[in-house]
Amino acid sequence: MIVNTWWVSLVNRFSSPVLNTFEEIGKIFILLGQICLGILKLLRQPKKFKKFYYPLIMEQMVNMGVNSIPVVITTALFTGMVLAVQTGVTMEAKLQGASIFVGSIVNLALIRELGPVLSGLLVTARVGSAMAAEIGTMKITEQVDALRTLATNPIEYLAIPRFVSIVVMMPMLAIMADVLGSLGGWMVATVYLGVNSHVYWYGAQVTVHMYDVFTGLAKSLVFGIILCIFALHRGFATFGGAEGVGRATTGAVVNASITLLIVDYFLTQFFALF
Amino acid sequence: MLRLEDLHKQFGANLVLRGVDLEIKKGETMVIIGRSGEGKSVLLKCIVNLIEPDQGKVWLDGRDMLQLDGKGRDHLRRRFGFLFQGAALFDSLTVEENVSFGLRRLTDYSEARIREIVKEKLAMVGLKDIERQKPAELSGGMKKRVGLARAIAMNPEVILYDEPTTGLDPIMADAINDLILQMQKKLSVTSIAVTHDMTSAYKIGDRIAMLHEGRIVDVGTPANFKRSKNALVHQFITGSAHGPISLV
Repeated sequence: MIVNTWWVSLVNRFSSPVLNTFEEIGKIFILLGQICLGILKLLRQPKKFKKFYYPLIMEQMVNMGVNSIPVVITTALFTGMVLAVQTGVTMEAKLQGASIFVGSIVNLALIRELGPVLSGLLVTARVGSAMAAEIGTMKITEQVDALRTLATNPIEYLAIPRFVSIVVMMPMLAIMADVLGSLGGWMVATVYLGVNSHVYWYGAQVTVHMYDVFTGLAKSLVFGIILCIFALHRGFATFGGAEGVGRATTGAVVNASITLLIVDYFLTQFFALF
Repeated sequence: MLRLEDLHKQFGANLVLRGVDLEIKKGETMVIIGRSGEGKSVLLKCIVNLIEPDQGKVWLDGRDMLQLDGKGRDHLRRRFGFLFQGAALFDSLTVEENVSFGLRRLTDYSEARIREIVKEKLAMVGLKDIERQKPAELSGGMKKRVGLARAIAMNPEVILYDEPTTGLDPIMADAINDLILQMQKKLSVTSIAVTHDMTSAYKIGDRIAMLHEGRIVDVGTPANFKRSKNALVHQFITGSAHGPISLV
């Protein structure tokens, strides 16, 4: 006997998106596993790696990393400046002379959080969208199938160079964001707030520890993996013409950005344990 | 040489292939005709396992291609050349890089030898001095020719053509048909072409098979097809809206 009551249809209606989400998560982890296995396989074939994959990785590093430098350093510079103004003016209003702590606050916030998160979000918008659109277009124009007919694994040829590049470049971009943000804060603190330059850098030095730098870089590495895997997953799953490419691009950026912020919270909690 | 046995493929609720049986002899050109959306391209992709059939076998020289592991399939795929409907040239690469893609990755040929082969294959499809151009700079007909040059670059034994003349003007379509015939003569390859262009089917096909509702409903030479008493074949080749093939 088929039970077809209102609550059955209600459960079906709400369970479907949940099941789809779990399916998507499963596929993302399968793709991640395929990439990691592919990298291990390539590392055992140094000749093939050097001949085919090294140039592809270099090309992607320029596309994803070097070409992202202007947008990352501009954003970081002004974020550091805004942070210095906000903290300096607010603290000075409550307690005269408190702006000497601007160096500590700006640098700690940048190195632990803003550097990796901002660079992660900016690279997601710039690189993640382009990656999903490029692979999505290749998928709908049968270029991915063409690779297979030429006995070439699309994961090896398309995903691995992008993955390796982002894993290498994201921490470097985060370091640049940290440095430029810190310099922005220093400019505002010394010129606008009248903080002594030595005091600013001394504050940074005594507050920020190597552990903070390490956690910031670890976060940026994880954010790079997240943005790359979401973009690749959506790209390879594209169907339905130009509209499908648009859907894949938007989906990649939105999903990666939200996941990045959620994962940031849990990583922060995790690193706070030590 | 190539035998398809009881191939089934379903996408969601849509049963596309419902038991395709077809044998292609060595050196012949088999043309598979059928209405748009009948699953002709799916069938072609099932042969080289770009789409995995739900059921059935693809025998190539006595070996079931679907039973092979990834490495085995890659090895067997080298015996195939595939001309895609939209040519599927790699946008980011030049014509020379597209044609030489398989040669660079799968052979140990020197750069000079690869360049020589690329030139030779481009000449075979009637193109020259376009090695440095990107696919975006080429016309539809030129893209198909470059796609064909890429498909034959590794000297395949079987060439699969997915709608080789679709989207081309009649003159260019005829030029592509001539090229397919030339490939047959010069390279002695086995070819499978899917199309709904009957002019092309009659010109290039040694035999024609008609795919309808997921099954092969008739196989024969072009002459036999023209005289066919099969109502489905008759309606299709005469291009009539009236007959047993429903429009929806």
